[in-house]
Amino acid sequence: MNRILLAAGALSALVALSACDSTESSDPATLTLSIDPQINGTALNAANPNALYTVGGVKTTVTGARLYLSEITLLKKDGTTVRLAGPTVTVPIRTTAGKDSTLTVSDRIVLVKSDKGETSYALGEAPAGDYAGMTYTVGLTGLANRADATQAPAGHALAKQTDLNNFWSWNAGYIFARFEGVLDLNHDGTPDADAASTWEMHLGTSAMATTVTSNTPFRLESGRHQELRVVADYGALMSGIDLSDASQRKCHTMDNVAVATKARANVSTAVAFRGVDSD
Amino acid sequence: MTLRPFARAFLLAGALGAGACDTPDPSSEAVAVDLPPGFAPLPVPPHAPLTPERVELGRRLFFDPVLSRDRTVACASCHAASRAFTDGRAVAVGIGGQTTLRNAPSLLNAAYRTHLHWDGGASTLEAQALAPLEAENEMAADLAEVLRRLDADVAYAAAFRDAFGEGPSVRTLTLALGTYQRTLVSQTTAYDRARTGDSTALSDAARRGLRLFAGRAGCAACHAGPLLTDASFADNGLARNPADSGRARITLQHADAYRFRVPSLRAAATTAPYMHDGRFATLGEVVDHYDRGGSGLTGQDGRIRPLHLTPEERADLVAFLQTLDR
Repeated sequence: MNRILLAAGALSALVALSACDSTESSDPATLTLSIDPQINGTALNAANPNALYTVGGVKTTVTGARLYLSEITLLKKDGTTVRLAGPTVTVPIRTTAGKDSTLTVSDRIVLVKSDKGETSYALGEAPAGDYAGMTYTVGLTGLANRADATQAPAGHALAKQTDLNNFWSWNAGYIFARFEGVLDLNHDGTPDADAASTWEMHLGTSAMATTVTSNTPFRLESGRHQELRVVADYGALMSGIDLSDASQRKCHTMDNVAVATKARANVSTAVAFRGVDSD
Repeated sequence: MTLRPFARAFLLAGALGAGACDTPDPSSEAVAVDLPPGFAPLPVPPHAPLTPERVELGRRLFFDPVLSRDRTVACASCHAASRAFTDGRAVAVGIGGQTTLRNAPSLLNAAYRTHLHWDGGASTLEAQALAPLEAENEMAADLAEVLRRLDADVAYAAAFRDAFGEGPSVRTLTLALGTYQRTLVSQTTAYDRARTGDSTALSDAARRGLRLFAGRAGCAACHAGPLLTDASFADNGLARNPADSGRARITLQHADAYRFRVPSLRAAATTAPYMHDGRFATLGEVVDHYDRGGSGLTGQDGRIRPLHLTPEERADLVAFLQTLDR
């Protein structure tokens, strides 16, 4: 009888251990994008619209700070890749040849709204395991950038926003990175009332989309909730841009290619992956 | 408001297919639009069927200044039905009398355009609607506020629900406007009647003008086909305005500098003034410009060269262009 009980116990333990092994190896990790918004290393405080930061050599408030992330791809150590998928939607597009068509979008696209104080975005699931890094695009590429934002499903990142414009209706494309504010040129500690003190850096057009590669390794744990941490330093986007120069204060890409080009060159350092945290 | 002849011809036809993004009531009778002979079938994207409810809602919105910030400017302010859906001004005028850089183009046959705006920057009719709606010097709309106004209006809220099964939103507002604009098609003209065999449709002067248009004057090189445009972008030799680089602003290609969309010549007699900035008040001035061979500046389209037309030939060309209205 004791031998039977001992054998039963051993068998139970063996089954239990096997069950644990299969759970850990098959369950994916659930991921959240955690954005750390900064202005040249200083945390962006969306709750205080009158806060002043130094951008482009000048004190300024921040009235808009947003960017698009897409094509988020995790790079496994075995050389394979995991492209994060989002909800599948179908949107009308106009091709560059002017033909009406539709595009099925299943990519995980995130519209980061740092000016609204938003810092967390669901990314879905990814297989557990060891990763060598990740890539992501700041902006939208290909036909995704020709989607008709007015007809994208409400709530989707591609849908036209009514609070801050994320879509150029006059140039068939999205604003990939948006950073704007009001300068304090008279140094009184408050934003100027003069319209000439407003500034806008709107980066877009397919040529300005930037794919960033990070070689920061990380591990995803089976069944865990984990955060991919990304610093979005909007101030760093403006490195090399002088806002004391009025000619550099308005950039909608096409009308100020020089400023846009500088901003684009800063993207890979301004929007940087910092690793993974677990809950 | 009744529609003018340029936007007439709503006929009931069989039901169209459902849209990609929502399904209109299947009992809703579809709208068909009379097309001049030789026109291709009207391009209607699957997600934007021409239901009577949507067309009517779009028409009401098009003519209603409720869409502008201060409720003074409607789409129809710059695109008047009586003027072939343009406004008779050199450049468009928006809220507070602010002017734009460019002439308000006629919306006739906009459904056929592969590119919208003079520089081709806007894509679909739905997306394009946002441009004048939100531009500070045009309608200066706060979209969220406009949607609140429409939702608060009992009649509009009901009309949106009838048309889309839901209330006002960016999607339904722009879809209504786009749907209405797709029905704006030019009517059959004397030129069309001549093309289809009516030997009495054109006057002698217009007939001579047509021969010049299609022949020695070379107009048909760009103004080709039933829509009298090849839908390309060209530098047609106008003196340049450095503030407006045309297509280059969109493509960022130097070669596209000062190129603008070749407009359709349909309803030309009604859509004065002419060119992307409305600089020519009459068709005679347009013909004179091409007769001179343009400005001769570097980048001008090579097909534009002095024509050495006689005064009678210039008048004949104008006579022909006037047959493109009705």
